[in-house]
Amino acid sequence: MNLAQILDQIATDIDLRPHIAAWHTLPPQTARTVPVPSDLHPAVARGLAARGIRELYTHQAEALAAAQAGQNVAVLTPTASGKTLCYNVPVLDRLCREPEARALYLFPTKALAQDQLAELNRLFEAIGEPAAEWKAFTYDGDTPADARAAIRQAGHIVVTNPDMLHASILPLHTRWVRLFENLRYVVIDELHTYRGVFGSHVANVLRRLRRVCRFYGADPQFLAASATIANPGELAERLIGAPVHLVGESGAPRGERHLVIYNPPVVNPALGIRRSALRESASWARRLLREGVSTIIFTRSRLSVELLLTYLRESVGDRVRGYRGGYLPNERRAIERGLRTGEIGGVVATNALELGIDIGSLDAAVLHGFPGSVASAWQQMGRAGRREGCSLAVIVASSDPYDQYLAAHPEHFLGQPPESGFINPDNVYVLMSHVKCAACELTFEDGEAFGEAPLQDVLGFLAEEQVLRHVDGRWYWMADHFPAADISLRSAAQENVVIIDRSRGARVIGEVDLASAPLVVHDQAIYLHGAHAYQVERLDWPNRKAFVKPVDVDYYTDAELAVDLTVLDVFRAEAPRAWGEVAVTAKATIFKKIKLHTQENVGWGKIHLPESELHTTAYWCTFPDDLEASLGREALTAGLSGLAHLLASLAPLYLLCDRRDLHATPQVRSPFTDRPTIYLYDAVPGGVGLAERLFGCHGDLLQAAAERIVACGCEAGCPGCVGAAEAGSAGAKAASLDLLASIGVQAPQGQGAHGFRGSRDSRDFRDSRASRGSDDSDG
Amino acid sequence: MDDLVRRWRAFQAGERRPAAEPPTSPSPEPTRRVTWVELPGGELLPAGWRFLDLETSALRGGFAFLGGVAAADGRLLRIVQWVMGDLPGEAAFLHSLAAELAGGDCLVTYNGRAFDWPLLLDRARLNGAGPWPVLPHRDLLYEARAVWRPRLGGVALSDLERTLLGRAPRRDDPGGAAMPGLYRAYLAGDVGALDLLLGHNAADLAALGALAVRCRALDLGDWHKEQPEDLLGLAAWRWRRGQPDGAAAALSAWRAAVPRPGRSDALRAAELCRRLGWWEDAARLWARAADGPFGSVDAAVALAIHLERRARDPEAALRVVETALARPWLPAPRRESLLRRRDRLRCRLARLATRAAPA
Repeated sequence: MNLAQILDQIATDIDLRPHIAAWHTLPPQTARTVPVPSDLHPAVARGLAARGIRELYTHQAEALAAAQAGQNVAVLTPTASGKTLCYNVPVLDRLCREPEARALYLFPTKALAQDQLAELNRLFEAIGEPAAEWKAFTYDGDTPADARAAIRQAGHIVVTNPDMLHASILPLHTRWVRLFENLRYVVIDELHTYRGVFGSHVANVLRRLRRVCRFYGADPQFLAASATIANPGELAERLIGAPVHLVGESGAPRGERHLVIYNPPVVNPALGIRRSALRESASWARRLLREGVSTIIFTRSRLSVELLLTYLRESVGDRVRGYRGGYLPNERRAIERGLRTGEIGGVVATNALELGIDIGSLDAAVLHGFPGSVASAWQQMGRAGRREGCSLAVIVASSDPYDQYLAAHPEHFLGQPPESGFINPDNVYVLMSHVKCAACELTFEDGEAFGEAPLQDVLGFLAEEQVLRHVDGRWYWMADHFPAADISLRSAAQENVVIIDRSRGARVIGEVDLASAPLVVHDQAIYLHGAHAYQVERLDWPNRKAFVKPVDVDYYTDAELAVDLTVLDVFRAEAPRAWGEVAVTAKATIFKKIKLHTQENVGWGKIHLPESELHTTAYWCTFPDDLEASLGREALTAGLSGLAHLLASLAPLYLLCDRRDLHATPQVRSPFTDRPTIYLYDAVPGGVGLAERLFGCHGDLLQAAAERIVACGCEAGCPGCVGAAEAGSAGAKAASLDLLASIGVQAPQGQGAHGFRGSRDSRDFRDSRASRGSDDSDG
Repeated sequence: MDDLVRRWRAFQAGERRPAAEPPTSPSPEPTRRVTWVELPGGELLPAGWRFLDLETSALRGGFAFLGGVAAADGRLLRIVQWVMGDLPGEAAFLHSLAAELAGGDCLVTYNGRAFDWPLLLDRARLNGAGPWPVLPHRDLLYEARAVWRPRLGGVALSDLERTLLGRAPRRDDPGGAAMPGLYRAYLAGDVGALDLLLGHNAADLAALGALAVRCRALDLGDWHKEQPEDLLGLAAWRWRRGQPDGAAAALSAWRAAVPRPGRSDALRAAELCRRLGWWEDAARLWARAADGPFGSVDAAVALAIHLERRARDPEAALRVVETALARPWLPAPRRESLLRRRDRLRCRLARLATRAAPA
């Protein structure tokens, strides 16, 4: 049975039909192509022809023309629309015309860089002469020291990541003279990942890059490509600091696409309990895989990947594989290859497969629960869909309020554009760091610009701090430390724990990031890897090693994490707002042993591991302590979580950060303030000034929150305002308004008032459950 | 970072610190100073050797502000030092330094291969200074590590000064870590800082010169000042430098001076003997290294291989393996590999016995 027949069968399945909340069909799109332009270098045209490409899609041709005209280009087109050719063709064309020309490719991860390197080498091979002389290299933390010198001299295309550019390439620019003197193109793929604080850092790294290029007499063009995002052009311009030509219309063909939202049936009407979304997802996947429909199953956590995989393996065997953070690179590459060649029929994955890793196109995608954002949802669904024939994406709603709201109001999802990506390169914390790095790389001159930043002020300040010395109109680096070594572009620590199977020698089978390790590889944990169970015999925490051995058991373990927030210092307080330093501690406390299939709890144990601590800055808002008496505890709790949810989704608009840069914690009675309190803290060690700015815009933020609640047309709360309400819970909406009123923030009268840039921020409807889920995912 | 940002706020609000710098900061022109110091044995050193030592603003990402270039002149060391006046004078400073090196035919440094030299090249590129002199480079750090570290432990130049070269302790030397701060003080008008900077750099160059005399004596085959155990390191170093004859000479001298070496030295020496083709010596040294309950298993394996393949004495090889296996604390993979070797040797002996037996 092919997919079309399966779809017919589903449409007429009277057991299934009532639980399908929405069935949306996107019509097929025919290819819009143009002949390969006559001004393309014949060698590139020949290379493309050798790979069967005799015409370009309109978006590829548009990107090429804009690049040839000297413009910066940002391309936003769907998955599998031939996006990489949008930048590879202009780059190769230039290399043919100018043999000394160089290009720098930036990818957010090493895996994507490897993927792209393979693609480039295939293109070189197809082109033959003169590409036989060209060399493309990856340059990252894995590059052996003795290969680095050769790459600096010989690499026509250097494929790297922003972190390496920041910490290694730019500070040592004198060793990269050939690259910088001849740099013509900088390619930035996966543009959408460079948002929030990370994006602000990368924007400053690119300012430094352009500055170093100017020193060597080069002025490269930027070619960016992005997955689903609302404002690719704006983000690219902010990131690059220059105007960008946006290519937004895809000319690639697409088959008919079916989008189904499925809400599992209620099994206990009294308690409103539905059938497990995990098992229902497995059942959809099984139905598709058994008929030979290639399927990707996305789920939100690494544990769910293993559970789904275990269940699916029982019925469809080894044709289905798992894919998540923690698998070793070779294992991942083998799975990607298997998916491309069709040897592997299905894969269960976290968002680790959401980024542009080439796995070819699949026929169907099953999403176990909504991912954290609209952009993620479209990105994951986009993995299914060939250029011809139909495809299916099913979202299986889980029981949490967020999913249930969307199952009840599918139009909320279908009508929403994806989220915007915001950055603030002039955030003083971020800016100051990069001005130091830039000054260490090359002296600044009086009057020199660094993007739109207030550079001269910052330079004057750094000179007063004796970090710089101002002589004869130039600013010289004077400090005795190396600034790039002190600054990490990413907030998450890159440390990990390796997992070693001791049954056959001492073989490393996987790894886990340091933050998740206490939950996944504590002593006695059952660690699932590729649906095989291993028992952790010993976690050697100081040496970051977990020793495991294979076991045959029918249970798995699930650990609990206790998170606590303590105020350490108050920088400023003007009731009800305050700004200060906090410690957020996370400690794995206990684990439960849960039987596969039945989900019975068959035992538990304690976890004895040190807690992890994040010192950062927080903004908090306190509410009168008599609210519990007047509203009741339940309404107060609902109001606090609702308002915390809303503030966390509104704040990025004021701070130009990303939702993931800021965490919200409501406390019904905070041990520090002794009152109901909402904390919003920077999710970056040491803080990057977000809390301080929240303290500053506290009044506007709360007023915008009140306006948003009133303007929202929902009844008791929805993801667009205070978050979806638990079934039967007290109205978070009304309670949130009561909380705001208690500190003197009055809601505007009547419906229809519009909040601050309301049409934009309503796009963000992740709830706290979703963002918790993403802690365990691989984004 | 937090403090920095708080001070930034104050700065933005108009708070300024009182001007720290007097108006008398130095001119950008580099300053030159020439000093002579005694160098016993200096007459051994070729006149074309140029000793280089830099003082820099940071270990990474910094610039050099003082460069000392020294050359031997009989029993004296002539030290020429250039100090960068102020930062706009970097190109002129580098130019002066390059000119100072240009007359030499060999650059001699301590850790200059990894630090001083690449830093100079980077700064030269940044300042468009060129052409830069290209000299053969002898970095004494590597031979010091090979020859003296096994005995002395630390081979920082300041350690060697005391433990190897027997030089008097430095007086009034603020140490290398104080150099960037002293240079800042100099730029701020503190003339006294200049003497401290120059004094430290000159002392480093004098120590480097003394070490070079020692190394040169070794080159010339004069090792009467060395402890016998250092000759093994010297032999290994010479082998690495592609001087098998020199290695053989040093190794022979070591064998004569150290009749019963420690186990780890015996293992190192056996490895050299193997490379030199001195199989009997190697076998004796392996036997020494493998000796006793704490003996080296590596040595036992090497000896067994030698006995089986080269000396054609599988019975002796088996005895060595069985002795090694008698140790109770062998790691599992090690034990397994030894057991495989033992079984193979037993099979071989059995086959030989069958073949030898009359039909």
